[in-house]
Amino acid sequence: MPEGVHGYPRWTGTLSTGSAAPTVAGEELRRALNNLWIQIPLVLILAYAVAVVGQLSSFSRGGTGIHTLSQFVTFLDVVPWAGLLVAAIMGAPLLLEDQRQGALELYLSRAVTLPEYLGGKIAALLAVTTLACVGPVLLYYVATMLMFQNHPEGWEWVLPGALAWAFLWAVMVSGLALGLAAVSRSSRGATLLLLGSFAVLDVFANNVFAGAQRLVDVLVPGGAARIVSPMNAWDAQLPWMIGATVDSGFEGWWGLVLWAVLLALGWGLLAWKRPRLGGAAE
Amino acid sequence: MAALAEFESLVKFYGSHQALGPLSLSLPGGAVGLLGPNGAGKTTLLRILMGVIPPTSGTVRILGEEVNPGAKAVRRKIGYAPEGEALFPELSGVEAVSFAGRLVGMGKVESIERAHQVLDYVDLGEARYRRVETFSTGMRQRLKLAQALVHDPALLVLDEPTEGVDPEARIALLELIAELRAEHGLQVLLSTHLLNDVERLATHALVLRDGRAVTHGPLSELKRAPAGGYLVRVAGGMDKLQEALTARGVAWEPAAANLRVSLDDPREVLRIVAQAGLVVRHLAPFELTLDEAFTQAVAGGASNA
Repeated sequence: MPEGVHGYPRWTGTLSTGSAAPTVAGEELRRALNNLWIQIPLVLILAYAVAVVGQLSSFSRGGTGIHTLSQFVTFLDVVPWAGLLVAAIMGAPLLLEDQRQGALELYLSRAVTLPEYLGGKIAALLAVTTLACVGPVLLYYVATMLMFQNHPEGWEWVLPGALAWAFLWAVMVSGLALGLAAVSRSSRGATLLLLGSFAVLDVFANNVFAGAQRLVDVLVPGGAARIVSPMNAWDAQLPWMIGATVDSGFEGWWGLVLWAVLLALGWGLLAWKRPRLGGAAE
Repeated sequence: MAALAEFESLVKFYGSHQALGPLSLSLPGGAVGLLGPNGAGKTTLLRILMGVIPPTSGTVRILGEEVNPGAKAVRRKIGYAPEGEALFPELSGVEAVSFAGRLVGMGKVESIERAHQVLDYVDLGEARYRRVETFSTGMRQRLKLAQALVHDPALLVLDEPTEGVDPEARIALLELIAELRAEHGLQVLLSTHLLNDVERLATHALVLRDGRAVTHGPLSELKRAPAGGYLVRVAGGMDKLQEALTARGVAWEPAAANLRVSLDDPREVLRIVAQAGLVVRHLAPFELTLDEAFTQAVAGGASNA
C-alpha cells in the first residue's frame, strides 16, 4: 500500500431509491451558474432591467405617463435575445458533451435512468433560460407595483401573459439548442448556428427585406402580409398576450404558429437524435 | 457465493452487426478477467451487464439478480469504472467522487464524507481539491476507482483500469484492487487487454473473440498445455538428459533453462533421469503462459460457450 494510504473504509449507509433527476438537475444548475459565459448574459439582462426600473423610479415621483403598457412592451423587446443567448450557450453542449466525454456512461452506469438523466438536464436548462426571460419581467412588474400608485388599465392581468410569453420563448429556444446540437454533432457549431440564424434573419428582415416589403404590399393590398424575423414575430406576440393595444402590423397568432413550428423542430430533432450509448465495435 | 454473472442466450446487434453472442455461460464469484482483442465485445458485454444498454435478446443475471435497463437495484451493488474519461473536468476530485455517490442515491453530506475517505484510500488525498482536468492519467484512473468505490459496492467492474498508467503506478493500482478483493471481499470483474493484470488479479477468465466466448474457466486450467508434458532441469549435464530421452524415443524440446519432455507421468521422467546418472533440479508440469494460452485461444480455440 502506498505511503499515506489508509485502509479501505467500509460504508454502511442507506441509498435512496428516489428519482435521480433532481440530483442531475441540481448539479447542472450549479455548474451553469458558475459558468462565466452563462453569467454574462444573465447579469447583463438583469442589469438592464435594474437600469430601466431605476429610470422609472425617477419618474414615479412626478406621476408622469411613462408607466404604460407600451413602455413595458418596449422594455421586454430585448428579453428574447437574453433567453436565446443563454439557451445557445448552455443548451448546445449540455447533452452532446456528456456523450462525447463519456460522462453519459457515468450517469447511466449509476442509479440513473435515461429519462431521469434527460429530465434533470432539461429541467436545469429550462430553469436557467427561464430565469433569463422571466427575471426581467418579474423585476419590472414588481418594481412598478411598488413605485406607482396608478397603473395602466388592465395592468393586473399583464403579469400572467408576460410570464407565459417569456416562458414559452425559453422552452422553444431551449429545444432548438438541444435539437440543433443533437443533429450537428458539434456544440460550438450549434451555438453559432442558433445565434447566427436568429441574428441574420433579424438583420435581413429589418433592413435587406425592406424593399421586398414594398413589393409584398403591392401584391397583398392592405398591409395584410409582413416580412418579419422570428424575433420580431415573437416580440409582436407580447402585446397580443398581455392585452395591450400596440399595433404590431399583423395578426398576433402568426407568431404563435412560427413558435409552434420552431418548438416542434427543436424538440423533434432532440427526440430523433437523443443521446444514447452503443454503436461501439467493442 | 452467488455467481458473479450469468448469461443465457445473450445476443447484441448494432444495426445488422452482431457485436456479441450468442453467449450462455456462468462466471463464478471472486475475481474474473475479461480478455479479448480490440473489437471482441468486452465493452459491449460490460455495458449490458451494467444495464446501460439493452441486449437484443437473452438474459443477464449479476450477483443473482436479473439485469434490465433502468433497473437501479442491481447498479447500486456495482461500482463501475468505465474505460473512457467519464469525468467532469471542471470539478474537483472530491466533487467528482461525491457526485458519483449522489448518483447512486447517497445523501449530499455523507457522499462528501465518503468521498474524502475513498480519495485517501486511493492515495488522492493531496489532490482532492484540485480540478480533475489537472490530473495525470494515473490520477484519473485512481479517481475512477474512487468513484466506483464511493458507495462501497459488492462488485467492482473495471474496464481497462491501468490503461495509460506508468509501470510503478500500475503496480500500486493493481495492489489496491488485489487488496480490495483479498482483504475486503469485493468481487472484481476486470476487462483488459493486459494479460499480466488478469494474471495478477483474477482466478478465472473469459476470453472473447468477435463477440463470442472462445474459452472461459479457472486461469490454471486455461494455462494448461493441451499436449501436457513436464519441464525438467538436471545437474550433471542437460546434454546427457537429451541423449537419454532420445534413446528412449521420448520427444523433448528446449524451454529456457529446462527441457520440455512429452511424458504424462512424472515418475517416468524421474526414472530416465536416474538411469542416466543425473540429479533432478527442477520438475514441474508444463504450463502455457497466459500470453500463450490467450494467443492460442484467440487464434483458433473452439467456443465452449
